[in-house]
Amino acid sequence: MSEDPPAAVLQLISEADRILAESAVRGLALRLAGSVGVLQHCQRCCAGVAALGRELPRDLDFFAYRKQQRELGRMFADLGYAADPSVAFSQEYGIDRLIYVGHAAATKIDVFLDVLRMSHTIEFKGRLGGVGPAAPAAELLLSKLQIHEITEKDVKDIGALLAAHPFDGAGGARAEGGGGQLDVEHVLGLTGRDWGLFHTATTNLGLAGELLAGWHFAGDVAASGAARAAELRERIEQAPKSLRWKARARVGTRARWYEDVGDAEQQGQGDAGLRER
Amino acid sequence: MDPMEPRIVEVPGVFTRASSGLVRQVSTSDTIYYGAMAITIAYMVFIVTAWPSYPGSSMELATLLVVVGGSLLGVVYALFASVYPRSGGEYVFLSRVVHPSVGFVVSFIQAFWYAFYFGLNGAFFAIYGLAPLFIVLGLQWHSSGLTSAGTWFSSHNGIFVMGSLLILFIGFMVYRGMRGFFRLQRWAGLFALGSVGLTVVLLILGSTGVLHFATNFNAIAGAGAYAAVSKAAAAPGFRLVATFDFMVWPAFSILFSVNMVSFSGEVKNVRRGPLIGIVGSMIVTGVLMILLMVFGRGAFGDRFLLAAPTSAKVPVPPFLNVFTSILGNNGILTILISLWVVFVIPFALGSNVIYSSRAMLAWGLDGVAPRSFANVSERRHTPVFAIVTLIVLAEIALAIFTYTTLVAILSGFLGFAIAFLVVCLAGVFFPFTHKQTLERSPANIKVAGIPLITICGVLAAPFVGFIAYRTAVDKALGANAHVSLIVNGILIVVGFGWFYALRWYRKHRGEDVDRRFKEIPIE
Repeated sequence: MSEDPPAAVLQLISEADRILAESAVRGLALRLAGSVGVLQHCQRCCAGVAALGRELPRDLDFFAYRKQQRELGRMFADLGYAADPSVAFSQEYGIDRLIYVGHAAATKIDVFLDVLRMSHTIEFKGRLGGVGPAAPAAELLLSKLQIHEITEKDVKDIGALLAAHPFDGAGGARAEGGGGQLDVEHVLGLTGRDWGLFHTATTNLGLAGELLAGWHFAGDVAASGAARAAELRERIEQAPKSLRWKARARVGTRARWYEDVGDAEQQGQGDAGLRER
Repeated sequence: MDPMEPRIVEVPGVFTRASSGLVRQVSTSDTIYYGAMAITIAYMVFIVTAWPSYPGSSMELATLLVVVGGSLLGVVYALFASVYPRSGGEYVFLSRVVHPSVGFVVSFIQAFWYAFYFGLNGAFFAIYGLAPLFIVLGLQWHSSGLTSAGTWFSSHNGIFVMGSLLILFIGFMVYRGMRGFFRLQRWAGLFALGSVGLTVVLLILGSTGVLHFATNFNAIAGAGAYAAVSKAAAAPGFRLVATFDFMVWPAFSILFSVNMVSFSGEVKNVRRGPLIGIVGSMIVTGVLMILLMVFGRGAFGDRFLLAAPTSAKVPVPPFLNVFTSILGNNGILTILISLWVVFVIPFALGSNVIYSSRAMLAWGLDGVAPRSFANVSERRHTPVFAIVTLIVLAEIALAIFTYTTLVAILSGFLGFAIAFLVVCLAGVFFPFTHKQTLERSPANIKVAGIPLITICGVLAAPFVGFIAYRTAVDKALGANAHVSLIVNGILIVVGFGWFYALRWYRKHRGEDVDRRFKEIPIE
């Protein structure tokens, strides 16, 4: 790219702000997710991302509600975006996701509706009511912990989130906004019901803890992130589990516990000839 | 580390990891349910009714041969679906592999005949589902009201009204989107499977003498009626040629699980899903059909089944589900037995409209049909214009089938058989004409150094060719009805004319339609 990265990121964040401002005007519940969501969640997250030297994001992810899908579609169209044809014709099959392309300010925009369906399914319906531009820290963390093939960038996001958010007890969702505490109970609830998510999340937390502990260049952020990764893993393991969780645990990794995540641009390109339109 | 464990992956570029992508929502089990519904085990009713027209044929052997031949065809379809994981049916891969005009014409013929059966299946719902159910219930519960209702369902107006209602209901379901359709299909499929299981159990009890069909039948039709009906038929010895000829009937049912390529772009595991869905549903449904045939013959007797369709001494519709209800001799059992007809036929309509509407959508997007076919509802994201068009076509087909004698059950099968044959031949030559595409795809499977798609295409082509031939010459079927042959000829001519006219029109407007067919999406 000819543009230097910081300028590109500033442009990306500026674009996110424009979209969020427009969504607020239209009364839509839209919250940043993904790496920009972590970056924008709070000042401590932003500082953590910088300390860990996380690569700069190139696209935008949002969480939104499915019931507002039509209004969201109109808003993005008004803002100059085109719906990606690879998923535009897949909505009727239950893909709760919109992808927008075609605007100079952002390579690609993903909008997840009510649920994030990737390696594991994270439902966030009814949880976007807090203040701030980003989704709650628990949702941001879960969106990273659910990744089966996690990357170093994801580990850095996990580290930044954990370092920035101390754990609370019950009712953390209310106390969380604006970069406060992490709603651990919500994380424990989901991982206590879904063995697959539990397995992937605890494995990722283990990997994250190991890597963060070795990243001395990041100072307190890495050390704090590593300690909280270990603590969260332990709390997830000790939390109560549902009967379904226990039944699935008996099968273990003999059966696949995660979804294969295809590439939107390669698998099932919607309908014939779409890529050229 | 366990290769199945979550792990850190090295990525070549920013945000290009697989987890940035999509999890498609159509599961392998959905494809099996869909394939089974497209096969429509309810067609067993007229498959058994057609048996007397082929003296000496073995229904079971014919069905087994169709499952084998159909599976070979199914593998060709599934492999094409894995190379071209896009929705739109044969149109997608034939237009890229053979020629755009061939892809369009085959798709055009298929879409037309699926629209035709969208209407006819509405009629089948009344004739083979509702009418028998109410007539038998009326007899078992001594209710003239139920019997009258059953008689009305089998009348012209009853067929048209109930067929129309079902067409509208399924059209509405498909308009609402595939997520809801698959959910409903799953439940209906489970109930239908239970109903088939119950039917098989009753037939086994009838075959082993625990239940007595003759006694129950005589109670309805009069003393000695069973013997009188059976006496009218001879039981000829086995004839292999007749068995081959009879294959068109199970083929008319079993081959249609290939219909799922209409949404292969949405299948969660495109390497495995279509293969398991198409071939698996053929095998499962084929086995169930054979069980129904074997134990049906055991419970009712060959002579009775051969004579019943033309006997005046049979006071009920001469259908397998009706005879099983009489065997069960219980109103509740009759209702439960009817579910494998009543719950399955609506989803046959579903597969008809889904195939056609998705093909039309693909045509509209590629510019070989009016753009309105590609318009989707803002709320439901479904091709609403295409669906409404198909509802209108289905109503016309239903009216023609109900009120005239121009068309019969198998009138559209020749068009499908031609399409299946083209796909087989495309599969034979695909590895040689598109070698690189195959090698970079999940379909690059070889047996003794020969591509699997070629092997299956070579083996399936004679089978499908024979089925096409029989549908063209078999006078018992209505497939070679004069109007059917004429319509297929017209469809071919109109299809090519349509394609080249639209191509010329688009080029005239500066749009390069041909460019779209050069793109080969490789997974």
